[in-house]
Amino acid sequence: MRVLVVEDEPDLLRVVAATLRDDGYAVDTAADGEEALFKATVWDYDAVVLDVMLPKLDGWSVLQRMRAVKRTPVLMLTARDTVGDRVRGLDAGADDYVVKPFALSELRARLRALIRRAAGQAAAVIEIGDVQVDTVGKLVKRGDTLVPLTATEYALVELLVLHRQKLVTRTTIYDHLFDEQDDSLSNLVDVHISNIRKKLGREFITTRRGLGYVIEG
Amino acid sequence: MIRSLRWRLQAWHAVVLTVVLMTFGVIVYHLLWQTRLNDIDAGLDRTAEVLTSRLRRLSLMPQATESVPKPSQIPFLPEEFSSLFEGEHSRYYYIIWARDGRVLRRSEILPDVEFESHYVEDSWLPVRIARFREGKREVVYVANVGTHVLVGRSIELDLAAQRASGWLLAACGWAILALGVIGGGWLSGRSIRPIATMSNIAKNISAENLSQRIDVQETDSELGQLAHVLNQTFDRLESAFEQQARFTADASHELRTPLAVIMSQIELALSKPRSNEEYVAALETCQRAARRMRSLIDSLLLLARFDSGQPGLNCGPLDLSTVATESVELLRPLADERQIKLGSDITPVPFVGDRERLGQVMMNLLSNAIRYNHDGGRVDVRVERINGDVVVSVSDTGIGIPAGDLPHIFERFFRVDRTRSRADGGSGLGLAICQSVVEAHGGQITARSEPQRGTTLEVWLPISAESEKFSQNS
Repeated sequence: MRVLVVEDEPDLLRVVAATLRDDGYAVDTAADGEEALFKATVWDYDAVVLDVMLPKLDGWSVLQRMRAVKRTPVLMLTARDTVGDRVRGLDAGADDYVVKPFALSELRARLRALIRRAAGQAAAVIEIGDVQVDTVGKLVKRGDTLVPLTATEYALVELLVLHRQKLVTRTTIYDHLFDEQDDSLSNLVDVHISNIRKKLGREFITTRRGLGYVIEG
Repeated sequence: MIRSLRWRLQAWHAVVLTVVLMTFGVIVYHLLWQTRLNDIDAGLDRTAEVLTSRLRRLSLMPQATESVPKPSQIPFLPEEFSSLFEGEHSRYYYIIWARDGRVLRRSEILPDVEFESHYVEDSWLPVRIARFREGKREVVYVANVGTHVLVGRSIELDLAAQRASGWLLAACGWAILALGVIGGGWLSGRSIRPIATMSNIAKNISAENLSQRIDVQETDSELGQLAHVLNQTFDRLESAFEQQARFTADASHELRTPLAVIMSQIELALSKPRSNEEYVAALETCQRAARRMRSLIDSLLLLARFDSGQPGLNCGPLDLSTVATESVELLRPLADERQIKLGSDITPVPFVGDRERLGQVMMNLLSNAIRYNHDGGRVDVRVERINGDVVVSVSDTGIGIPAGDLPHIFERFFRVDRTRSRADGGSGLGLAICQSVVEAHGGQITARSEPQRGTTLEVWLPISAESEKFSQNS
């Protein structure tokens, strides 16, 4: 999952980005409104965490202009918690909001929920055959046994599961799994896929040669 | 109710009207009676004159008391005149006495009347006496020979007429009073109504609802002006409230952001075991955020002290040139870093003020001038004395301030461009604090700016007598 975090306070930006990276997200960052708008319109993020008070272009304007071209889910960060501010945010097209100061666990939970809902999967645990994907604990079980996956492997499984029965192209995988700091080689995706197949079974992921991958279950 | 303006007005109005009407009524009543009495007396006088002249003519007036003249053949009164005293309904009567009280002549109808002598010996002046007696008016003439001629008439009818006039007057008076009081009440009610409207609106205005205003169209009288003044007050109140609300929101935002950093940094650090380096980095982040909160809280407390009118200035004699030079030297490294030339034209000016706070003002102005400058630009500091003022001016060749923002730069948390502020640690309170400090010293601070050309901030501080004394001593 690839998310964009927009926040003008450098320390907060760093902490939020680090937390989300720990969770296995690919995280891009932006420190002002213009940069945020540029990145959010160029890339297909799974979610955007957007601060309201930003230099150059405030959060509301970023949201408004982004909504003209993208339907990416947006989680607003705001220090203003009056009802008027919340209503304004939700009306402007925000999908959820968190009031500063916030608990990181709440931010993570809301972000997970946002991404699931956007992918059309409301439940936190998704079952495919005998494989269970727990998006909260970031765990994958086969039957009753826990399958140990690396962070990238898990992210890849989650991406495919959230888009089950739909073709996921290699480009989409690159876009969603690796942030601007990664400098991965293309064949790495194949390595991850083959590792996942080893752990969850060959038939878990189907290859559409030349197009991408799909979970058909 | 009794205390209400309307009722007091009304009561006063009624009292004045009553007094006026009563005075007027009494005067009219009296004049009316005088006219009637004059009429009656004129009739009586004429009759008495006729009787006297008749007496003389018929030589009936005795010169002495010895003999009573015999009744002559000629009737005492002519036919047409005597009818005045005849008949059942005659109102007039007369009696003529000799000096000693003998009755010389009398009318047929005559109420009981006693002789009273009014004769004055050796007086050549005739005597006239007018009197009331039992609903009658009587006039007595005493001729110089002592003959008393009394003519009287009943005035019952006149009294009745006078009473009727009295009642009419009273009725008119009451009617006018009633009309006056009702009309006055209507008028005062009408003129008081806008006051009630105004007080209702003023009552409804609260912190939640400050937008209501009095309709000035409705009150076109003197109250219109009052309404206008009240509306202006409400405007000021509303903007003060708005400013306060904005200030509170800004302050909470500024405090929440570093708090969010601390909370999330701690949560991240504790989420799993970390290396020592990571813990140190986390604690350093928390420290930065805590420092920012502390400086923000210090600034807010300082402003609150100025707001409460107790700035707690620690005033003493100082030389503004020293303060300025120190600040310039302190900030020179910062300017050098960005190749900004820091020029100063500082003349010694003794002054009495708070050294620390004035130093803070200098530092604020200078660091703003450096922060909002282009690399390789200039900052000029000038301290000079102009008449009774010290003028400290700091001008830069920086990015300038748009004309629309210029009036707001001394407002709390106002930032022309928020891009730089956060990273530089500016709180948006610097110029607000400068203004408070300068105003607490009795001075003022002004700014002029041209976008992309530069900004000049000028501080004018009045030199007090105390400072003068200090300058002479040193």
